[in-house]
Amino acid sequence: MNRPGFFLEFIKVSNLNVYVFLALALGLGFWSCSSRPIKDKNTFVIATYNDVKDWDPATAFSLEVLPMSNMYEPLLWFDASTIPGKVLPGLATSYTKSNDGLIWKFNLRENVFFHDGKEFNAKAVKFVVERNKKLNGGASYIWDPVEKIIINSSHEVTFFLSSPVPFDKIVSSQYGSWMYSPDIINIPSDSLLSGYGSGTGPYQLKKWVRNKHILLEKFDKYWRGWTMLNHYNSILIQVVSESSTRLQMIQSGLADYAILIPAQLLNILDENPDIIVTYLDSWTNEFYMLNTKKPPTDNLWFRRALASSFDRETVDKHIYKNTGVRAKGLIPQSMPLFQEPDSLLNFDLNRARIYLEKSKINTNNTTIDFSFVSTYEEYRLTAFMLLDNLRSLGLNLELKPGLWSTNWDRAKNIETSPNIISMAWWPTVASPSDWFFSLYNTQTPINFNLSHYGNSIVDSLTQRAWSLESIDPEAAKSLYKQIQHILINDCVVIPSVDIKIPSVCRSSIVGLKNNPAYSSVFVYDLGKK
Amino acid sequence: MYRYLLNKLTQMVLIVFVVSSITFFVIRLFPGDPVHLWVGGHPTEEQIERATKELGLNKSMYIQYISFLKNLVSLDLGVSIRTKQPVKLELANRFFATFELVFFSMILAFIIGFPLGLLAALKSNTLLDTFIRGIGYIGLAIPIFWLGMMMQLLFFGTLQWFPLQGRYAGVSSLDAQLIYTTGFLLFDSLLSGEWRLFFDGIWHIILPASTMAFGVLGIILRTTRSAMVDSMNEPFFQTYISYGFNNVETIRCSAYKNTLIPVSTIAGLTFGLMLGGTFLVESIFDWPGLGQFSVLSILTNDFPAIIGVTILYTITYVIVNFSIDIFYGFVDPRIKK
Repeated sequence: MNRPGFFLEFIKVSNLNVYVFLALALGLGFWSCSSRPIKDKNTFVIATYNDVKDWDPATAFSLEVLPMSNMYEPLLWFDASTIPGKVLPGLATSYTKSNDGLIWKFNLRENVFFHDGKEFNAKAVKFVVERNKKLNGGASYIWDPVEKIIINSSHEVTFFLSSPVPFDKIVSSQYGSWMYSPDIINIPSDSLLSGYGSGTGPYQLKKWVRNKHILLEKFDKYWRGWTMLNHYNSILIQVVSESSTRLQMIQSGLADYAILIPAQLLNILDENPDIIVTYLDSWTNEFYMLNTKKPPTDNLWFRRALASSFDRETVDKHIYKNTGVRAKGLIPQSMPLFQEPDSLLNFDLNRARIYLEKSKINTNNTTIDFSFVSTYEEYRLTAFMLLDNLRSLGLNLELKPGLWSTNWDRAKNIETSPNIISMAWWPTVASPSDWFFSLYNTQTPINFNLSHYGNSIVDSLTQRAWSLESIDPEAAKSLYKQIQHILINDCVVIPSVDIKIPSVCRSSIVGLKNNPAYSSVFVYDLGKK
Repeated sequence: MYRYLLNKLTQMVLIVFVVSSITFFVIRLFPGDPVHLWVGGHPTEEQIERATKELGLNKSMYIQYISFLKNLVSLDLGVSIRTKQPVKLELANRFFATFELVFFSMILAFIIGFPLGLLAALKSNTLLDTFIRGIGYIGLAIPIFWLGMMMQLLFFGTLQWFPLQGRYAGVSSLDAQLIYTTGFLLFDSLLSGEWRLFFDGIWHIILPASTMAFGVLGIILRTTRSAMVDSMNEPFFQTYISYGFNNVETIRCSAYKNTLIPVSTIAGLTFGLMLGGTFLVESIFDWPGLGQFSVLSILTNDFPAIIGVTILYTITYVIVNFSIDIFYGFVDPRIKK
């Protein structure tokens, strides 16, 4: 039998000529028709990891701050680029407050328009605050102290508060303080779901392709104008869930700015002259809450033994490296009104042994459980560090990794709560009180006070400090220090690190400035080299 | 035939009902609080209470189940707790992306795997056979996430032949006035004459589809080879040879049909497997499909989304296997009878 060679047989069996024809046709087609990934130089491309959930500026309370801070403006901005930070004019040009801190009068900027063409005025401010309060979603609780709003004139408005609070910080919050067009009430809920935006900011929403990208285009009538810098005409926020893909996007020039690139991947960028990596201060800190109601951590001396076993230096130097700095107190050190407490319980295993003896707890039969967020490598490594140190004291540490939602749910209930739980916190309003109200004030039922701690002195001092912030900031500052002392003395928490955010951007960008008060990039301030 | 179809349809409804009911109860046993997802970062106690009521989680399990069944009958799958979008809309947007990717991968795997399997059978126990089977083993053994990343580094990073991520370039989607009729980008762009978008879509699908196809290539290749080797030992094959036909002619004329039943069975099962296993490829190539959505929904305890995804997967799996049952009829006349 005449047997052809195997290649010929393969051609016969598979009709390879058909494949070759198809491949050539397709190849020719997409080489001639497909669009190459060429980036428009006038578009600022941000590669981020998740999409917007809520397009309503009243209730948006998450990653929405990235597009919204470019679409909307608040009455005032908080500039935290320098310590202690300062309030800057936004849609309000100036403001005054009464001596008791209960009446705040704002002069509004004139000739400002919303993206839908409506004029910004005092009526719009009143509408926004009242609607936010009524919706009671997201961070709308920041407006709770507002009792009454009086429109004095078309561009002057007065707020009457129920208690003295630093209202300038409230109106500059990154959540819930954006001013938007009153025409929102005429927008059907379906349209709100499919992307909405009508602020006064420099960019307006052009298109949202769900889970793919958000396109913002410059608003020609923006009150600050477009003549100051070599501005970007549009912003493309691309949702790219995989960090290695975001990394490749910035390396190849497809993106100008990448968000949340893991620390272990950042080394790759060190020698790339086209990319600048900077580690920016943030208002996020990480810490470990100790359960004050569950044995054996209900014992103060035992909690002190745990705190003395926590090696903050190792955590800072070897686990977080550039992405965190050693905590100096219970709130981030870059926070306004932060004052370093006189001392934290530092790492000292000998001292830990002494505390353990004082606790009179038999170490042989003692196991404590430690719940941490499993998706975060730094928590895992910290847990192993603590496990090792406690083992040398004869204590067993049971590690319980899990998702935050699960950990939080279990920790709220005393029956299922762990002895130690990892946590991170960032404020809604630029005030240390955010930590103390949410984490250490008495709560029934428990929400975020996962150490199940209750101390009426801490509760009243927090309230007093918060009230004093607007009237006597120095007094508030010393009260916050006093609260920290009480909490350190009661050993409610082990502070770990203040987080630094890696900012990864192309070196061709100028004007990038860090402002920890907003987790965003203000593209209007940026220019091209 | 009608009775057969009715029977299959009844089975399908029953399967969907049982699977969705099991899913409903099982996900409520998971630890974690979906309310936290609904209310966002730092909710107040009042907001949590309100959200619990809004989501109906304050009611008894029995009442929740009845309400779930009522909604299911009216095809209302609720709102995703994580994305705050209607689950039906989320599934509609993503399902076609995943289906298109899996379908394209299957075609690639079949176009390459089937002839290679036949060739391996023709050359069984030779160096070529060992080489081809080796390719299959490599496909099965290589972790899909590693392969995907290597593909990106080579074909995007170094050679710049293919795009890095996405289903189409941002520019194409903004320029093209695509009329969506079926939800399949390639098909719709073809129908609406959007050639630029069509080729852009193909250009984008090649890397993720090749990554997925390589993973199942070994299964198709080895099944084809094994079925063909069995056929070649059958008396009918020897009869052809004795009449003077060579192996290739015999395969082309008749014997390849004998491999279609096992290969299509495997193809059906693999299709289901791939449909549920797209997560890694979708993450790496940023493919806006169901895989990412399903995994994130499970991780965040987004129960309306989990139930929606489960029902959709179940229906698809049942339909694909039902189609294969019908395909048997065409391939094997004995079944048709």
